[in-house]
Amino acid sequence: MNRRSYRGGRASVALAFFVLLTLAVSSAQARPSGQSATVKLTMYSSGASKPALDVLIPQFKEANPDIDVDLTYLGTAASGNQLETTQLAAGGGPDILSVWPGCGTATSVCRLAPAGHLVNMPAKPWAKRSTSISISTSKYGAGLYVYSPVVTFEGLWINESMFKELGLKVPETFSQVLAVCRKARARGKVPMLLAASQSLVMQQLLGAFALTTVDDYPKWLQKLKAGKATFAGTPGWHRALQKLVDLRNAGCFQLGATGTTSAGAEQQFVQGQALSYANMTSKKGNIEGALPKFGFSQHPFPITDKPNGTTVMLIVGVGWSVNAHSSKTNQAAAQRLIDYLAQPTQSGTYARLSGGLSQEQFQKGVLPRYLSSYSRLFKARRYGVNPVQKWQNAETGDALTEFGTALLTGQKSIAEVLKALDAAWKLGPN
Amino acid sequence: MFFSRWAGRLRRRGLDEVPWLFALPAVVALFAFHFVPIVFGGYYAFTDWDGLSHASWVGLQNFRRIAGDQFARSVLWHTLELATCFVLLVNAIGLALALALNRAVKTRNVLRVIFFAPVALSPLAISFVWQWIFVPQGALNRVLDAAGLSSLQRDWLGDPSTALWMVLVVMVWQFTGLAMVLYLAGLQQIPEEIEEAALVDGASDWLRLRKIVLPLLAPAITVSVTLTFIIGMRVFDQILGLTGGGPAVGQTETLGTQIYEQLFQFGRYGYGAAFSVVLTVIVLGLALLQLIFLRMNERRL
Repeated sequence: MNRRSYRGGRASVALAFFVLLTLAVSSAQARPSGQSATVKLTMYSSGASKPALDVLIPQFKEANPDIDVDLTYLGTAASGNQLETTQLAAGGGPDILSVWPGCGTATSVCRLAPAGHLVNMPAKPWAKRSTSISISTSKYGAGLYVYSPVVTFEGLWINESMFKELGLKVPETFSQVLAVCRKARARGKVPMLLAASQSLVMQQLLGAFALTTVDDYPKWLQKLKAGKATFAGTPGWHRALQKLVDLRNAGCFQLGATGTTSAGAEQQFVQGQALSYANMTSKKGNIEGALPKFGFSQHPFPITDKPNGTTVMLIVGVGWSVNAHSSKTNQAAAQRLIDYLAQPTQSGTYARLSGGLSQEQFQKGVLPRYLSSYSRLFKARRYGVNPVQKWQNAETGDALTEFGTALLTGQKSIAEVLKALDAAWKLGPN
Repeated sequence: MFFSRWAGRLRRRGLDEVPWLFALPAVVALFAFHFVPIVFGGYYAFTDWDGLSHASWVGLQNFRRIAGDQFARSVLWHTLELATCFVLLVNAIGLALALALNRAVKTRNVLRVIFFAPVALSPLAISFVWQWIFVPQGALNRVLDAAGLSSLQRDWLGDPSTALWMVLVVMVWQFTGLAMVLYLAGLQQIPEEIEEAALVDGASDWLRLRKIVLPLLAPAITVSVTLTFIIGMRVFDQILGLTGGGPAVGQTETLGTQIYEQLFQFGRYGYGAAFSVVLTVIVLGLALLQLIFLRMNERRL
């Protein structure tokens, strides 16, 4: 081949490449004439919101035809953290992020807001309708960054039919819980399902116990943050962990609790294999969706023998934030979607389908039938936020999970669990 | 100007720049998506980066923390324990299967496909399926009950004494086919005449295996042991799918899961990157030692 034809060959290859590139770029930008521009929003949300968002997002799209929403439900909390933090670190991510109010996870407000990844949403109408508890965990400094659609509670899902069948009363004190466990066990029934292999379950259960057993928990937390208190030096934390040991010794939990996932526990509960199921209100959607053949309701988990002595643990549900890396157009559209979901009708629908109380319902003290047993404690304002949402790092919550599970299996003592919590706290903020 | 001089130099040496130009995008991609991230990862191991804001240099602090942390040492021990048992079992069973399927069995091709099929599947998907088999109400306990062995029923994944071994079962189940295929390839390289000669001389099956087959299989053993060792040390998907690192205090945590946890659960990217460096150094070091030892063995033969 001579030099001329060789050069000609290379020129043809280069020209063909250039033509292909031009065609590819222009086809990506081409739009059929006559079609109006649509803003395409990408959104991440936790799987617990699926029953509600499957209804609400199509309604939003119908009401707002200029906005298209591409919604992805995140799997586990860890996989959601991985996806979001990786994308945010690269300056990307969806227009609407799934964000954990407060602190304690890799995608919490107190990590993402100071790093400049979230848009401040000041003076929103829904902020006035939100509870002070939600707002306190949705803010960082003076900015408001998250909208949480619901507040959920830690409690006991009760199989009402099985309680009636066994002639048992739903327990209202901790001693009654232990007695119910012993009686149910004696009759060959599983008293209480616990999905101990699921990290948040153990963390939330023990956190719920501590809110009651630690005297003046909010004040204690201030002391902890100031370095004037420790987990090991707080009798209330000893008492909280002792509750778990007492439940274990009374045979409350199913065989293989440490190997049971939430999906497995829910399956057993809806199949009527247990008297009760310790988990959050947000499980309502899953339980209802499985169409159990028995009546069920959620009750406060009695942690003390004093009447009205239990403090109900509230979890400010995972919410939505606007990504600061999105374009201004997409940020505006994202805010429209969040404002829509935050309207009283829509947030009421969300709470009804996914479980928990909407912000307005909580403010007004409106409890649906399946949560009516909480009314006494609500009226007495006996509730507090999930401790982990106010902790300075995720390792402390993780230590509560891992060492708490080890307490359940008898591998670790209460003293060792408390020592691990202090060691994790000393690692400092994430 | 530079490129034309470079092209000229290549032509004088008898090389043409066109093949290099075609290879250039792939080389750039290899550097951009493989080598550069490794270098950056190595850098972040010496910082306190949280994945979201600025990274500050902290020197050897992360490595000192790993060295002084009892939990980190137990994680390393689990990793080595799992990897060692995995290598031994996979290679022993793989070799046995290869020897069995190297004979003139009618269904050997079908059996080879059946044994190799799990290797092609996603480890995470397999682990989720096995999780349902191992749960207390799962298939394994039901089979034991049906067979009158209910005394053997366990909380396989929730019991600290069995959880790690269940992970091993799933890993061995998935990758035995890989070892089998490698050994089959090695067996087919062994000249039939040598075995026939030994047979004629009256050598027993066991003697032929020990003195002829295994020595001539040395290259395949080297490849299989090295590959399965690396797979064993890098275990992650099976643990994520089966136990999540539990039950309780890191009973099945390995270096791989610990890296994931530090990065994405705690947001301690610098510390997680330090774990990655430790894992890389250990795997490289042990794999090299192993390779050198096995190659020396081959040369001796």
